[in-house]
Amino acid sequence: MSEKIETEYKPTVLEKAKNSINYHKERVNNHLIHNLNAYAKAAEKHLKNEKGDFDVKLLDSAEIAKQFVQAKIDYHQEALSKRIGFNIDLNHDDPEHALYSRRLLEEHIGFDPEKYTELVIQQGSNWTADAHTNQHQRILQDKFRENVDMYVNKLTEDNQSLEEVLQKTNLAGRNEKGELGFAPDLANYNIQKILTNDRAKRTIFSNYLQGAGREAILESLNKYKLPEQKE
Amino acid sequence: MQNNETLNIYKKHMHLHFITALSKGLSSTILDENNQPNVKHLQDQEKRDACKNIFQTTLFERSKDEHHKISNPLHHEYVINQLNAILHDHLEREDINMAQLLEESHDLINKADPL
Repeated sequence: MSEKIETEYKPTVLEKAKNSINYHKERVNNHLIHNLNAYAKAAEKHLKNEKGDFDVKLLDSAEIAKQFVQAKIDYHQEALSKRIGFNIDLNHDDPEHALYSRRLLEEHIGFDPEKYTELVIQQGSNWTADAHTNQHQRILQDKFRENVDMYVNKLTEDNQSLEEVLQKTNLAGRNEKGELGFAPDLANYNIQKILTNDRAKRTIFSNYLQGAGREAILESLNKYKLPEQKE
Repeated sequence: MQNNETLNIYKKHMHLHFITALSKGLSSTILDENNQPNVKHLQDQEKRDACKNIFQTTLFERSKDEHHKISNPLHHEYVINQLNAILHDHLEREDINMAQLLEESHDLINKADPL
């Protein structure tokens, strides 16, 4: 039993954080793709005039705006049901099922469906594809940012994780003495200042978690650079 | 002479054409059998090319009458070429960043001011 425990792989705190950030990053991307499709499908259905051409002014009609939003919600409902394997049905006979569906859908689209309809009716033809994607992007990016901040806060206290980042990004050398060892990349920096400054550590973690490379991390640490030595 | 209203309509329509063309291009290349996006499909050159072609054809077809709405039709050609170039760049990275792609394209359309 004890042998089994020894061979079990346990991800480090940093690896867990990185996996979570990557997962959320993928979710943001996928959601924007779904959102794009939802807008395009709804536009094909409701924003074409008699000649078959797109006409954004049709959105100035409250009735069309309502149908347009409904078509979008229908698309999201179907895509989400497939993804999570749960039948999202806001009008389900079981009120608990209906309530749960509503919560999942709201979380997925970032809006309360009724408020969303009101917003589009209010904006009319100003609710452009640009405005639409910007709004969703903002909501998703804010959530993503919150997630990154949460992990950065958690990791800032953890020197072990800092060491791991420095080694994974080739900023630091091999740690042989149980201390943070630094390779030439960080040689021109005020290491003590970085190690004792939460802001500097936050910069390193934040950059790393979001996928920035070594160069980007070094660039953001510029204020900790030592003055050039005169020969 | 072109007025601001017409230019605004041009931009709104270009946003719409861009979104619908991109949706068409991506749907037929990166969605899996359950209609879920899978960006790993972009590692396949054929799929990337298919996405570019569908996007290019759809955008061209749908926006072909839009140049009447601006005073300099050549500028429309520029917008179309640039939108194709932006998508091309993103696809060739094999890991599409939607937020960045949308931002770059929307910026380009919003700056269209051929007056």
